[in-house]
Amino acid sequence: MSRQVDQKYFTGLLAETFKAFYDERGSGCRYRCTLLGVDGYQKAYPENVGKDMTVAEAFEATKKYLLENGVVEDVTYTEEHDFADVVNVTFKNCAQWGTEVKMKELGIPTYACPCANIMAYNIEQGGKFTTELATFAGNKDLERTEEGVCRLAMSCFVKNIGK
Amino acid sequence: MYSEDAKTMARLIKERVSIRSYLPDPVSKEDLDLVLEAGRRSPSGENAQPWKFIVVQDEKSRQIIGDLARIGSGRRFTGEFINKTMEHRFEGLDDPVKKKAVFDKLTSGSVSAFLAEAPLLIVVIGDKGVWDTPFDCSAAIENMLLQAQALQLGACWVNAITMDIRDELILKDLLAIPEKYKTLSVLALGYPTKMRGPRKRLTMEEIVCDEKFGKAYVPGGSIDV
Repeated sequence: MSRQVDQKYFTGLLAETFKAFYDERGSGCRYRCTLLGVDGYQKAYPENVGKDMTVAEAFEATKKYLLENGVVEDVTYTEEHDFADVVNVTFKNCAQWGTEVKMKELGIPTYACPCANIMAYNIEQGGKFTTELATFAGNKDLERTEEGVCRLAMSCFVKNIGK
Repeated sequence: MYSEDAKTMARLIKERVSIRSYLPDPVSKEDLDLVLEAGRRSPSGENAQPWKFIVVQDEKSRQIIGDLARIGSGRRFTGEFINKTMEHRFEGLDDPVKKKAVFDKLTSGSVSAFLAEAPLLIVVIGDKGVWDTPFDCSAAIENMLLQAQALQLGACWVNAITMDIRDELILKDLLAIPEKYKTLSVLALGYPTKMRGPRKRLTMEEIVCDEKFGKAYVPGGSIDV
């Protein structure tokens, strides 16, 4: 006998888990979640693990995974080269949005974005670069964010470890 | 009114500050052992003692740890600049030259890179299977800081390198730390190039409550020892 569980059950459970972690670790929990979502990506595309990618290639690999798995409906990106190298990414109708709404109900801010983490992972895995997720729409902007569209800005740096 | 022990302890706590600039001289074995012993004697829930202390003196390892701290710190401050939340760090700083210097220091991460220059690092890790690991390890770190102060060593408690899971994994790999341990913090130790005075602290009234939150506690006796 097969059984359907309401998607809202899992969405709510995930939001409550985020809240439990936030209540324990405060805003520092953001940096403990920078690899959230990456394990699934690595298992889906083992051929991409450790691959040196340009930002454009990292974007394409991320987009392919997110679209093929139905995580988002569309992804676009632009690059800015000013004080820092910044990648602006837009996700449309992300599957996590329901969790974001529930998190806002529970009174906690967005602090983890698996889509951004996968993009960051793809940029970083060659070993040359590190990244910082500077802004992402998150639930604090829920009312101001265009329906179903989430924007983030990620800065990229050359790593230079042990040189 | 206070015993000599109480006065000595109060003075050590009052005078302890974070030191980020060290002489190249190595920390003596005697001093190091006393600092580690202070960590070993720290309070621990159910006496679980979940901590382990990894002493790092190897130059190459210190360089990598310093780089990790620099990168972590620099990218977080750059993120602050991009998302326009950095301004509060410049409050009360009107001189544009000084403002630029602070900005450069923050966004480059050099504020945390001093770890590479410290002659000795103690990496504090804790068993994830113990409930009280973060609390026990934090108590051990404070004990070691106070012992270092009593030995006139300079020390700094640094979390920049262990805050982000990405950096923590690199550090764990570098130091061959098993999965069952969480990397809590890094303690930099060395003889200071110069001592400096304590930073301004919030008043007792601002931080202590009397019976319930919001009702300020008023200290009665003299705490100026």
